[in-house]
Amino acid sequence: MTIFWAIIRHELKLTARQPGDLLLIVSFFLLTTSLFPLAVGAEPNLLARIAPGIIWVTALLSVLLSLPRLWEPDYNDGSIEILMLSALPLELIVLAKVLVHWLLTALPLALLTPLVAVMFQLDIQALPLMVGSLLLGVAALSLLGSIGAALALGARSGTVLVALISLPLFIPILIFGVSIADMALMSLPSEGAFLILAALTLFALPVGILGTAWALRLAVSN
Amino acid sequence: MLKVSDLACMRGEGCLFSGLSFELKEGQVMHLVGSNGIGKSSLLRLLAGFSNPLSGDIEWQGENIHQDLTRYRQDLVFLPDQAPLKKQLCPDDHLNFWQRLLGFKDGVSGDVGLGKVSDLPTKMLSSGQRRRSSFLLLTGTRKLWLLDEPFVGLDSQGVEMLLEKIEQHRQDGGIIILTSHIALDMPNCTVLSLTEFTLTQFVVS
Repeated sequence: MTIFWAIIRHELKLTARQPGDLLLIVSFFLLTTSLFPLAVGAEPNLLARIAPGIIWVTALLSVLLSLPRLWEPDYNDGSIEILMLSALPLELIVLAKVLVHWLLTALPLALLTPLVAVMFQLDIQALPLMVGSLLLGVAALSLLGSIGAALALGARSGTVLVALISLPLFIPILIFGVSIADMALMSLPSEGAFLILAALTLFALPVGILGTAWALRLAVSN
Repeated sequence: MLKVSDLACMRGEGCLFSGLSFELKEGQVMHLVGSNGIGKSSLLRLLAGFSNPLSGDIEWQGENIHQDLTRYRQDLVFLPDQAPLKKQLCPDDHLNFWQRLLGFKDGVSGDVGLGKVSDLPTKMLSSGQRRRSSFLLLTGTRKLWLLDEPFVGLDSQGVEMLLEKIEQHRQDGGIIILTSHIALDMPNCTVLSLTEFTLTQFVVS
């Protein structure tokens, strides 16, 4: 357990010393969402209608943008081999790293969502569900995306590969994530969609961890 | 005790070496030599369990290392040819993290002759200083050291220091396998040339 926390503290320290990646994700999310009112016109009804979809798609792209930085630095500088020398099973090392990735993407995005919601004149009642679904859904995105990021290690055009591997896995999460806020906007019960998203995230937990560990072992073996 | 029997290693389409067998007991050093690309690093990665051999067995304390890789790796320090450092962290940060990660005992001295620069971020260090920082991995009590080109980029005091570390570890009952292109004058050191185990012109396909 001490090793698990040591890895989390180490990862947080790495980001604190070099916050560039975090700032990139945050500014990408803010800038991209703010382009939509300019492009589709400032009609309140239309904006409020498409807001959940835009927030979700942009959040998904922000995660995608951050994924190549999840395993590639450790792979390139040899830290991954050192991590593998610890007494902690590789699966738990993966869990620690993905947990930090989730913390550093989902949390900033969730904090910025109210701001974006104001920009889109989103119904304030749908906001808690919007933020909740993002926190839950981005966990699934981090877990599944981690597989793609680990599989792309050592490939020449890694960034494109990460996107190609991860996007198909992201689609179910996007669909149910958006429908939660959509149903809340239409005053329909959204518990069902929320539970399905929770189930998808639970499913992504073992798949993401085992898949990433497998891909990492494959990456260091050649 | 490390026992390697009839080991063969593939790289891409070709076979790097085959029929490699040796045995190392506590307090022994092995110096791997051979020309570039002959498979010295590949052998070290096989011994660390990162890759699987084409054939043959690697046994540690009488048990195949792939039986329980996580337990075997707790006796192991692997030093890659490139220092595994984060450019925004200083040597003290690395020592601190590695101590926790690899379960080194508290209070071990991490003196690798870095002096005042031990709180400077790695990106400000020279390549020799980075190399010295990576020796902070050697502060624990893990028995088996696999060192890939550890002397590259070191000044003469650095070489001296590493030789002392290796000798100290050897006397403490450690086993060291290293690759290097410089001739080493060490007690109880066997030199293994991989050239004898290469099959030239042999291509699997």
